[in-house]
Amino acid sequence: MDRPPNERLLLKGKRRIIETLLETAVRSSAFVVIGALVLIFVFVAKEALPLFTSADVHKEVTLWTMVRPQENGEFVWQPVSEKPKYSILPLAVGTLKVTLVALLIAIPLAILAAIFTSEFAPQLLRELIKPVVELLAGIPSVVIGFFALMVVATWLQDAFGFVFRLNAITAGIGLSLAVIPIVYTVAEDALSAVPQAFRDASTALGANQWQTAWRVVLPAAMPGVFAACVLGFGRAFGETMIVLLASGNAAMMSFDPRESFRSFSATIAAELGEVVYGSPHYHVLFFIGAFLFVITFFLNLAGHWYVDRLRARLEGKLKA
Amino acid sequence: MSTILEVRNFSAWYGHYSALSDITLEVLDHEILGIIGPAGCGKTTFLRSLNRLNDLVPDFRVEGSIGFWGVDIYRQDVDLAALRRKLGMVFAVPVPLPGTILENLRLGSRLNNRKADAGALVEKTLRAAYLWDEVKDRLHQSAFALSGGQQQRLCLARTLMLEPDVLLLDEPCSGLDPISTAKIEEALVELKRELTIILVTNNVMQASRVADRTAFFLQGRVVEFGLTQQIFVNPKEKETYEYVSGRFG
Amino acid sequence: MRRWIKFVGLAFTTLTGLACLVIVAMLAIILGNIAINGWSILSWEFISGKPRAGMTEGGIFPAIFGTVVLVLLMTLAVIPLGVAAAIYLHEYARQGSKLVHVVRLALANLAGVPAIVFGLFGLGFFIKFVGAGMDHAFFGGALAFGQPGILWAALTLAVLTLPTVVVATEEALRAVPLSYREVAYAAGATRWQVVRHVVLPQSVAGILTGTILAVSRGAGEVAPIMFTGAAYYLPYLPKKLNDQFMELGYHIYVMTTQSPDVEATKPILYATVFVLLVLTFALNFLAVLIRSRIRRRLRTA
Repeated sequence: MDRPPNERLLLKGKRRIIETLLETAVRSSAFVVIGALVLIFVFVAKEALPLFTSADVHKEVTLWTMVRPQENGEFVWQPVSEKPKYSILPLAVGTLKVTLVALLIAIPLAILAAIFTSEFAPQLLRELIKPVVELLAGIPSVVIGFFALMVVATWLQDAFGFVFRLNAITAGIGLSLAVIPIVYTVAEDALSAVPQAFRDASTALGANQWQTAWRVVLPAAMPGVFAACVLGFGRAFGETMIVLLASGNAAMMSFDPRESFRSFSATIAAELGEVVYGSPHYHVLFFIGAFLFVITFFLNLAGHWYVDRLRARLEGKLKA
Repeated sequence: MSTILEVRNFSAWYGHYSALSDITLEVLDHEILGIIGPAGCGKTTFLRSLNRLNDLVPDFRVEGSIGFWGVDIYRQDVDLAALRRKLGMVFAVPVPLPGTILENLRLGSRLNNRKADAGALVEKTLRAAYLWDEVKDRLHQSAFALSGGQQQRLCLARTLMLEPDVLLLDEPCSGLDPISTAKIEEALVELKRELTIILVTNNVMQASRVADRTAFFLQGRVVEFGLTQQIFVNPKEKETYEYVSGRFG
Repeated sequence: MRRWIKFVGLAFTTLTGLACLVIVAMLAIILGNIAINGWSILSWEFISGKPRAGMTEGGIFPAIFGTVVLVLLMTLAVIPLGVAAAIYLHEYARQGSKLVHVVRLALANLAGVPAIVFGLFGLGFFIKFVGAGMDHAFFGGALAFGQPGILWAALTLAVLTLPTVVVATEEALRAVPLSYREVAYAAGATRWQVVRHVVLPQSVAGILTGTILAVSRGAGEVAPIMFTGAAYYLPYLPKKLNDQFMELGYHIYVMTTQSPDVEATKPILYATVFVLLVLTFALNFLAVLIRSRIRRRLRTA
């Protein structure tokens, strides 16, 4: 009879050390992911902090002077002038203006297209549309910006006689191209996640295909569709190159979409290259960056909260 | 014969679901132990507890002890890799890995950084699995090209390559044709000379054909455990009688 | 009534189909416009030459070179990290644990951070913190790494592409059947051996495809590299990790906005955009090619 191989069953030191080392390495890479997000916020916020704390910066600009009407009752963003003016309201108006135009175009198009792919399209067409959207997502934003500036602007001006060649409509159309892929993808995922049983039940009750899509599938997928809109908003809000190229970059306090404007992100891109390191202007630009980070952070959080809710809802309904 | 595995008051849960309760039995060296019972009776859970494969299931939890050559395998400092090589397992569905037949057989030696020159062992295990004649000329072909029955015998040979002390078989013939089944059963009876076999099976007749002793599981408990002949010819419990005579299950 | 329902249904279905058509048309118009206007200008001199006459003439070789080196460096940085993180999430971590939840949330949020914020981060963290710290520690305070350079731009882009790489890798890992892992564990494999001998060989095609696609997205981003290393015009190619470099996307931006005569640079501009698009899509094509290659090899093995 063999001697019981007790000692062979117990852990050997060398192998255990190697395993532990590798596990630690792999696990720490996960912490790097969390760390990256934290570091982004910390290092952008760090450079924005003097806006709140530094007396030197306060001589030129404070948070309050950034939103309050200036001496003559105007709101002007003119950081590089003899007496720098830092009203962020024109930037806010410009950002909202272009985001709104982009979403008004992108959301209906993307969601309708998502409904078509998930509900009506034959398999072959479906296989065709997805790569098209992927391709659209793969076009660098600087290329879209270039196209909006060179081509779309000319077409629109010829068609509608805009006074400003570059305006929120031109930039909004460009921006919508960057937003469509994300809205489409998230919405399509949500619609396809609706169990086939829902559709079968609806058909069994005598509903036709579009009634099923409109009254059963779309409502069931609503949290996901809403998430698509929120994430699309976040994407539009922070997009830089398209707006930078096609907005005209004039920080005007105008709600008219036919006039030029300037967005938060484009302001950073256009001005940070020239700014003096450590100047009030430098800190204000980082403050805008931190603001963009916080806004998109919460938009993303909200978007994913809705995606989770959709999943919980569909799974809950299936169990019941 | 000496006791190789000693299961004492062993219970297991998946989360709050109790899968095994208070199992006590011992496995003797060089026997074939058959485990029978209806679907969901815990026989697979029991088998996967013996090589701690269920540790991979997140909410799996056990009480009691399982001694292997006198060492409690649920001790903290047990080397799971070494344990699982000592208790080799063959699954219900044949799972050849992508690659050639030879690469499949050498999985174990690859994992242990052993030199892959075990040519003699390859032939021995393939012969033991009654597969040698069918594959000896195509060892370098893909394992996926084999038939289902051949794949399962390859999986058996792959496990034998680990040179285990105990062979854990989880319904190894469930999807196979009668000829393949017969070959595997023949192989098992031969293998008994070298190692201990625990055979979980849905097929009552299979247990009666090859097992020395048989345990009947029902709802996570051992209802009856004894010599195969006694279980089938003269069972003590009513449930055992009903199950082996085909009344339910 | 019935006819009315039918009409609304038809209208609705047509509308959704039309939306698809509009999206396809948009893509076709952009690609068509750029291909037609860009292709005719393209020549070997343009691809291999340097910019001349205030960038209104000559070629774009320095920008192509810079872009390729940038993308290579970024890939080198992001793949090990992204694949390791995905392996942690899918192979090591207990599913449903708090840490996994937080990591996934961080990934989702990281993917939504605007590109320009990555630029600020690169400037604030890599250049002003890490780079300046290195200068202080190793170069006696002389300016070496505390300034924009190709290494910092690549690392900034690596952080930007990290979430996409992790998600793509995880998808590839998910495609490996659970039973393969069980077989390996049952054969006495340790966790790392399962990953090394079973999971990675089986998923390498998917990982490569996914990461190349992710990298091609990052390759077109301009906002993160504007302040971290890209230069308007350089007469030389980058030779050291802390050299500045020219990049196609940034070159397009500069020529569009800073050129004294946009009409004069327009043909060159179109050709540059065309080259950038070709490079981006070539990466996509490469990904698809690798995928089919490895699939075929697995099938014949």
